[in-house]
Amino acid sequence: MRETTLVQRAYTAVLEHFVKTGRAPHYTELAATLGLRPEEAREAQRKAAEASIACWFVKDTDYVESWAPFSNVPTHYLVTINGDPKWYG
Amino acid sequence: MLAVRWLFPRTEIRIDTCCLDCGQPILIRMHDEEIFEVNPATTVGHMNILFAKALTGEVTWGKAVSRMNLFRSEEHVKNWSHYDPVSAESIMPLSNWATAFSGPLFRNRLEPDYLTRVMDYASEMLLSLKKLGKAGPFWIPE
Repeated sequence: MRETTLVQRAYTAVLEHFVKTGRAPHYTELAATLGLRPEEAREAQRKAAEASIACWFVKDTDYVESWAPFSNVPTHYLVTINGDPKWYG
Repeated sequence: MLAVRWLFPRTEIRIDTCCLDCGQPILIRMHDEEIFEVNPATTVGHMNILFAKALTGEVTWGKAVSRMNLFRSEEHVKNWSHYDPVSAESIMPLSNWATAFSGPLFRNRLEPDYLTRVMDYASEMLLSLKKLGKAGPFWIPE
C-alpha cells in the first residue's frame, strides 16, 4: 500500500472512530481496523496527525489528545448528538 | 467545536459549555447549515492568541485551540482574567465563527483525499476570514 494512501486511511479511520464512539482508537485498535501490525499503525497515525491540522498527541506518548474537531480528553465543550452526550469539542 | 456538525449530517448537534469569565452556561444547537439556538444570544467566540502563529507553527495547535473559547458576551471576554487585548479583533458573533468554520477544511474531513488537499483548504479558510474583514496580521502570517 502506498504510504500516502495508508496515512490517509489512518487519518480517516481515527475520525470515523471518533464519530462512532466519541473517542480516539488506540493504535492497536487502529491496526486491527486497517489490517496492519501495531507498529505500522502507530507510525501511520503519527504521520496522519503531522499531515493534518489540529491533530496531536498527549506529550511524550502515542495517545491521541485531539483529532479536530474532536478532543480525546474531557473539555468544557460537551457535544450531544441524538441525545447522547459522549463527544468533546 | 462548531465544525463537529459537518461530521453528523442531517443530525441535531447540541453543545453545552460555560463562559470562562463567569462560569454560567452557554448552549448551542445546530443542524447542518443552520445554527438555530444560541443561548444567550449575545454569545461570542474569541481566540486569545494570534491565529497566524498557529498557521506558521510558531505555537502548537494544542495551545492555539485551547485558547479558542466561547463567552456569554464581548464584555465577558474583556473581563476575563486571561484576556489579552491584542486579541480583541478575534471577538466575533457566533454566526461569523460558524462562517469561518464552514469551508472545505471542515466539511471535507471524511473525503478520501483530504490530506493531500488540506493546505489548499486552509488557504480557502483564510479567504473566508478576509471576507469577514479579518485579514490583518492577527489572522494571516506576514
